[in-house]
Amino acid sequence: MKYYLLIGRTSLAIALFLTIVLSAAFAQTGIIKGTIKDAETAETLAGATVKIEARQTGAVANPHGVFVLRGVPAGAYTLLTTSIGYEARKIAISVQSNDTTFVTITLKSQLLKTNDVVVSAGKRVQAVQDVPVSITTVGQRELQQRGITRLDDALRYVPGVNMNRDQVNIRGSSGFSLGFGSRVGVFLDGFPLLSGDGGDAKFDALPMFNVERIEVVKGAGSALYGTGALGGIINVITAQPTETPEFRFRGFAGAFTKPRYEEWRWRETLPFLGGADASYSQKIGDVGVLIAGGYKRSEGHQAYYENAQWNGLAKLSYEASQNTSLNFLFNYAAEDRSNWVYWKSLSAATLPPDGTNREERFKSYKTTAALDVRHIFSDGFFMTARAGVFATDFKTVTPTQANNTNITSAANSWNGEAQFTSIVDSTLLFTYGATATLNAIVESPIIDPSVGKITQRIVAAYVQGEYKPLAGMTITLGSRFDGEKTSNLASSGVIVNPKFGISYQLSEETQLRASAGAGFRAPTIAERFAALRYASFTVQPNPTLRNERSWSFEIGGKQAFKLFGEDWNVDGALFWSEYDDLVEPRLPSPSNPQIQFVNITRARIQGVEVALNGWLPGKTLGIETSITAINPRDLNLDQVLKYRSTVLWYSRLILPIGAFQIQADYRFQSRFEQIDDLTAIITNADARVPIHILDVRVIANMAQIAGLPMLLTLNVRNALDYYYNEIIGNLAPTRHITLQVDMKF
Amino acid sequence: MLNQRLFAYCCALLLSFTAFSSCDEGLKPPPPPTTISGTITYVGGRAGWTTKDSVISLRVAAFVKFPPADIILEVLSGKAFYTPQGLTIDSTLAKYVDSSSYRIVIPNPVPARVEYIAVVMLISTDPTKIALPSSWRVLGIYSMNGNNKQPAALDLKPETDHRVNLIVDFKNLPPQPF
Repeated sequence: MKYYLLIGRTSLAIALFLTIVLSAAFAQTGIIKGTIKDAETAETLAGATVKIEARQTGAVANPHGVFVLRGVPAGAYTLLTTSIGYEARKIAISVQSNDTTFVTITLKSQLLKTNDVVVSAGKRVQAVQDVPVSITTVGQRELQQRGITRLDDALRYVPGVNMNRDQVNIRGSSGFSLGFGSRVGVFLDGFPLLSGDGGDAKFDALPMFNVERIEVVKGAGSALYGTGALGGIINVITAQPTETPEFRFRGFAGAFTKPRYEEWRWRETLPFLGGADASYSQKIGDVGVLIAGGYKRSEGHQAYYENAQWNGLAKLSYEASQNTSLNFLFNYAAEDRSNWVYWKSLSAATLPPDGTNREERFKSYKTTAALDVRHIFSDGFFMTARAGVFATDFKTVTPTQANNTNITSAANSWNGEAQFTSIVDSTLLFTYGATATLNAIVESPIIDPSVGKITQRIVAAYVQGEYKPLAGMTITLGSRFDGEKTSNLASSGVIVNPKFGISYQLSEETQLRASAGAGFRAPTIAERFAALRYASFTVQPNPTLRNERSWSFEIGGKQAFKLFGEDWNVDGALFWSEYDDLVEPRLPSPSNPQIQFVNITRARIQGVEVALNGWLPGKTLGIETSITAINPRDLNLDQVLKYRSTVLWYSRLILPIGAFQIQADYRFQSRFEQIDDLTAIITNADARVPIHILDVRVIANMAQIAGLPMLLTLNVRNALDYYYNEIIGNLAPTRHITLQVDMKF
Repeated sequence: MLNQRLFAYCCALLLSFTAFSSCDEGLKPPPPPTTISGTITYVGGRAGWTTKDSVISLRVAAFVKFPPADIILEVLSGKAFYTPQGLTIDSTLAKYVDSSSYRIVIPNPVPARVEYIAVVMLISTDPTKIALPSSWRVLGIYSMNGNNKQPAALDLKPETDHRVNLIVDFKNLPPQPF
C-alpha cells in the first residue's frame, strides 16, 4: 500500500510543479473566431466542435455554425474540427497576441469511414491518423441506420471483431468462457464498465440511442487501461447536451419470419419485436442536460425466448468556469428474459431441452453513476478526474414457485481516476495518472460461502510521453504499473505493462504506424470463487488462478488515393500477440460436465487485416470491405485455439438513389475449427457452420420527400435467413424485418 | 451519369454474387431417420395372450438376410435391426396388452430391403443365451396377404418411415425359422 501512496504523492507534486511553471509561461493571448460549413452545400454546422490539437481549449459551434476561442496564447496551432457525420479536418492556424484570427472551416460529409477523431488511443483527443495503433470508430449515423439497440450488435460490423454470443473477440483474443472475464476493456465515456463479479461486459447496459460514436482500439490496451484490456478496448462515447433544444425519437416494430424448415416452426404467428427510444437535450447557460429512456421487447426467434429491456439515461454538464467543467452521467438498464441456453437438438433447434424450467426468468439490472471533472490549470496543463460505480445485479426467478429465486449475484465495481496532461513544448507531451478499482460482492450465493466477503482491489499509475522529433512523426513511450489484491489471496506485486508506438504521417495521403505493448488481466472474483450451475454445467472455484499476460506487436499503415476520380482509403496491419497463462474453462471429461477455470493455455495469434473503402464514379456506389486473417494457435496443444474463426470478412455497399439509400452489410466468419466436446451433454453440440449474414436496409429521407424531419428505414436482418450458431447448441437470430422511424426536432 | 449508375449497379450485383456464391445452406435439421414402424395387434386382446410367466421379453426384429445364420453377427454387421435397443432380458415392448406400437430405426447405410420382419419373444431366462436363435420364438411376421406362413420382404427408402402393422395370434404362430 505504501507503494501506491508514494505514486499518488509523486503525481501530485509533479502536477503542482507544472501548474506553477506552465501557468507563467503563457500570458499573451488572442482570439480565434470562425464558421463551420458543409463543404458541398455550404450549410452552417451547428454543434460542430473545434479543438486546438493537443490542448484542452475547444468550443462548440452555435446554431449559426459560429465558434469563438478566447484566451489563446499567441503561436502556431492545429485546429481539429469534427461534426457527427462529417470527416474530421485539421487546419494550421496562427494566433497573434491581442488580435482576432478569422477562419472558415468546411467539412466533407462522411458516409464511409475515413478521417475521424478519437480519444481512446492516448486518453486524449487525437486525429485517427496520428495514433500508432489500429482503431475503428462507429458513428451515430451507422448506429442509427442499422437500427442498433445493443452494443454487441454494433460490434458485429467492426473489422477484426466478432461476437461469441455475450463475449467480444478482437482479433482472436477471446474464445468462449461463459461470459466470465472479458479480455476486452469496455468503457462508457472513459469509465470502466466490466462487472465487479464476473468481469464481463453487459452489452445491453449501454445507452446506444444516445451514443455519439464507439471507438474500438485493437491490440493490448493494458498499458493505459489496465486489467481486462488484453485484446483491446471499446470506448462508448455518449452525445453531449446540445446547444439548442433537441428532441429525438426512434420507434421500430417488426417480426421474425417463419423458419424455412417445418421442424423449427414453433408457433403459428410471427414473433414480434419492437421498441421505442426518446431523448431530450438542451443547454441553458452553463448547464446542459440530456435525458433519455427506452423500451424494447422481442418474442424471440425460439420458443420461450422472449425478452424485454428498459433503459434510462441522464447526463448533466456544468461549465463551472472557463477552465472547469463537470459531467455527471447516470445510466440504468434492466432486462427480463427467459432463461435457457442450449437447444433440445438440431432437429428441434428452436425448443429448449425436455426438462427445462420454461417459466424461469433471468432478470438483470445495471446501474452506472459517474462524475468527471475537467480542469484547465493552464493551456498546457490540464486534468481530468473521474469517479463512479458500475452496479450489476442478476437473479434467476421462477414466478410460480414460492421460494422462487434460484441464482442471484450483485456486485459493485467502484472506480476512480485522476489524469493529467502536460505539454512541455510543441514537441513533447506527457499524460499520466493514477487509478483505483474496488470490485465488491454485495450479495452472491454463487460465490463459495467458505471464502467469506470477497473484494478485489486494483491500484495503478501510468505515464505516457509523446514526442514529435519530425513533422508528422509521433513517438509514444509509456508504462502502467498495476497492483492487484483479492481478499485473503496473495498480492500480485507490481505488474509492469510498457508500451511503445510510432506513427509517421509521410504525406496527407500516407501514414505508417508501429506499436508494441504488454497487457494483463487479473482473474475475476467469479472465475476464482464461483460455484454454481450454468445451464447443464456445474462451475467449480479455483482460487489459484494466475494473471493472464500478453505482448502485442503491430505494424500498419493507411493510404488515401484516387480511383475512378473518387477518394479511396486503404488501411493494412500485420499483428502478432503472445499470450501466457490464458484462463479458459476446462471440462474434466465430456461425461462429467464440471467446469473449472484454469490457466491452461499459452497461445500465439498472428494475422493480417486490410480494410478498404471508397466510391465508384459520381458517388453512385460506396464500398467498405475488410478482411482479417488470423492464425490463432494453442501452443500447448499445438492446434487452433478453440472458438476462433480464422477468417473474418465484412463488407458494406451504399447505393444512394435520390432521397433513398439502399445499404447492404455482408459478414462472413469462417467455421470454428476447434470447440469443446460437449456432445455427451448437448445433443448435436458439434453442429456448426461458417457464418454468412446479409443485412439489407432501405432508408428514406422524409425531409427530402415531404419536408418532415424524419428518416424511415426498412431493415431486413439476416435477409438470406441463413441458419448458424455463435455458441454451441444455440441457433442465432433468424431473419427479421423491422420498420424504423427516426425523428429529430 | 446514367452510365455511371449502370456501372454501379453492375458492380453491386457482381460483388453480391461473389459474396453469396460461397454460401452453403447453414444449419438445417438432420434428415429424418429411416424407420420401420407400426402397430402390433394381439388377436383376442389381453385374453389371447399365452400364460404370463412364459413371455420374458418381446421385440420386433428386421433381417436383411433370411434366415439369419448368427443373430449377433447379423446385428454387428448392420444386417439385423430390432427394437427396443439393448440386448438384455429387461428390454421389452409392452406385454399383455391389446395392441402396442413399435419403431425400428435403420442406421446408415440403409440396406435396399429387409427380407424378414417379425415379432419375437424371448423364452429363456438365461442372459447368456439371449443371442442364441433357439432362445427366441417368432409370434408374428410381415407377410403377403395376411398369410403368416409366407414372410414378405420390404423395400426400404432412405429417410422414410415404413408403416408395417403386425398381427400376433398365439393360437396360430408362423413357422419357426430358428
